Amino acid sequence: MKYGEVFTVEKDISVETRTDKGEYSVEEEVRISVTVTNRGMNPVELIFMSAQRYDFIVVKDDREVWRWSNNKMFAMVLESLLLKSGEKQTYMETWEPKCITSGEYEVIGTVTSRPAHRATCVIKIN
Amino acid sequence: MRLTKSKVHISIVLVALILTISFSGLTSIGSAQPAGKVPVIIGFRNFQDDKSVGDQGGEIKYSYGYIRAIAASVPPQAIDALQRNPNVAYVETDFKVYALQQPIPWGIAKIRAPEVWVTGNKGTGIKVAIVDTGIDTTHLDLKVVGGATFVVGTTSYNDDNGHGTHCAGIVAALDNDIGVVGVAPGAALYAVKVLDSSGSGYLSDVIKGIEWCITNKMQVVSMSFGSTSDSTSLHAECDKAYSANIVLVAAAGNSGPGANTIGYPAKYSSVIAVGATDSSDVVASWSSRGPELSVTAPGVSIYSTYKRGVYATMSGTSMACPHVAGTVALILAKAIHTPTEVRNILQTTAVDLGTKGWDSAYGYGRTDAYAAIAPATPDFSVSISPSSVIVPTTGGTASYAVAITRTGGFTSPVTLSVSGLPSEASGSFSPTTGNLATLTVTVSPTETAGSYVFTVTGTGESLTRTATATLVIQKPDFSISASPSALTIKAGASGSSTIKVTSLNGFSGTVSLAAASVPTGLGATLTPTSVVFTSGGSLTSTLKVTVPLGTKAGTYTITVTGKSGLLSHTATVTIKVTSNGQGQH
Repeated sequence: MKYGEVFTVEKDISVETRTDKGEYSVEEEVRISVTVTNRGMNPVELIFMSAQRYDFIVVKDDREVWRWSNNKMFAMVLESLLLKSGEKQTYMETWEPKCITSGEYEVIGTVTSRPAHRATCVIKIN
Repeated sequence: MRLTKSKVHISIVLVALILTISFSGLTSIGSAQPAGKVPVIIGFRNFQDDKSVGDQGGEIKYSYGYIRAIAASVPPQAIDALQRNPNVAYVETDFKVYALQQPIPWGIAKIRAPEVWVTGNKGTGIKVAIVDTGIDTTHLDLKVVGGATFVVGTTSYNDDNGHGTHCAGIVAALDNDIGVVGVAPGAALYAVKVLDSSGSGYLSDVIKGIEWCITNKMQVVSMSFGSTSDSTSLHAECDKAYSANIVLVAAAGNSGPGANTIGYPAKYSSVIAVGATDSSDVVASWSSRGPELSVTAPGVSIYSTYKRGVYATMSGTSMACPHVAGTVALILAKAIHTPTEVRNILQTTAVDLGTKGWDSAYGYGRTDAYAAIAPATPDFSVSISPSSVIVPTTGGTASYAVAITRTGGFTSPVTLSVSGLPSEASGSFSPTTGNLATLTVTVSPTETAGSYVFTVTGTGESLTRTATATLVIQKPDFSISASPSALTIKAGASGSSTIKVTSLNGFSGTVSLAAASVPTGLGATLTPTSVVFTSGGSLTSTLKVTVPLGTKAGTYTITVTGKSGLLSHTATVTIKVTSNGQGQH
């Protein structure tokens, strides 16, 4: 297993969750991105049930440490995103860890379309 | 922050600015009319009265065959006279039917907002805050009265996204010659910007936005946003606004069709949660479901104003929410109500859809603005208490209180009558006018015991309302018991027991008491030997039992019989006789 990146494929859609590094020191900020790519031959329409496009969750020992959307509100309107063949969309946020212990953390990147697309990578905080 | 912007797939429609006619008031419209006359259509209640139209100087154009109406040209001064004619139901302007340049979006028509405007109510002056992405301040179809922005990096409440402008148009797009029209075109729109150009916002900014609404005395707050996570401070802020008499309306969420999918703040009891229905009155599959759902409103393919002066079609409970916010403005423009009253009005006047009554997909049903502001139909109800009274078969009276409750301004006299009483009973009301009466049912002496459900009917104008109660006729009787029912007496001594006689079902008269089947040798006396009932209750007699010396030890039984006419009941006392040295004295 490699720290800081993971790649999943569901039919024509691939999802990649990445962090800017694999290992961090305690309280060092973590830049996280999730990328959705249309690897098929045909255009794919992603349907979103609100203005929310993505979410990031950090988990340690099955306990949620951080969730990007926790303090956010979203417009309750249906929207769609058309990805042409080969086209990709990347979303990025920064996690600023506070009062955390060292160890391995799971970083879950989700494109919150219906159905959602997610990929989980692991980072190490020393 | 996002690296790249997603493309929002919405149809942007440029508005065609085409002049239209004004059809307000009974002014001269059209050119081929007789000089000085106004084209009208007159509706009649009972019969088509050509004569009265002619008498008023009118010229009849058509006398319709299927509806009770006449198309005519009449002098303007005749309109008043016609409207005063009791046979005239209405007089309306005969305007030319043009292709509408201001189409009424389906949602506005569905909730019957145009029928409210006809009553002169356009929600004028009611302060409605659109807590959202801001509102396009230069849109020709919107008039933004004021607002504030709480989005970092912005200095104006102008809309950077389009969502807020869309919601604002649903509430109050102007009733003019262009574009669309909102539910309450007269409402005062305020833009409270808490969501950024991507349509998302911080909880802290949303709370600040609601605070602004309280400070600036908004009357309705439309919140077309949500989150799946609860927040103690947002909850507290909503409750605060609610206690400041602000009606909070929120999108239920687009997380359906699963159960319990309503988001926050819609989920709070201080907020009216709104789900989305389509033009066929079917709930959208994605409309959130749950016990907190109050009502539904149009939310699928809604055409409204959009940023940069254009129009767009959008879907979501975001669109359903402002349909209700606009309806609330109409309700408040008619009469001031508390948020609780407003919720009740919305829920009781909604068009029930789905499972009868409330259900988790439609709430109480689809919002109906016209029903919500319609005057209550004059009516009354009749109630009676107590629900049951017992009278003995020997005759007597039963009294019931009958109340008439009037609603919707029903003032006509109500006449009361009673039916369904047994043949040996009759009822009368006193007084015979007013809203409270005593029904006295007089029962003749009878041997027919039974339970009779009777009906009190109130009749006023053409309305008939009823209530039912029960008259129970029971045979008078008595019961008899002994205490103690077992005595232990030593030979050569005596003991006593209290015989209790109880009147049942209004029994009155004399009960004769006698000790029967007294075992040989034992003495039994009753004091007194009869009791006389005048008004029910219980009376007693004392049974004294004497056991002579030499009585054989053993158990004996004495029966006390009470008799009154054909009625006879007994109580049994067991006597245990012991040899000398045992038992009581």
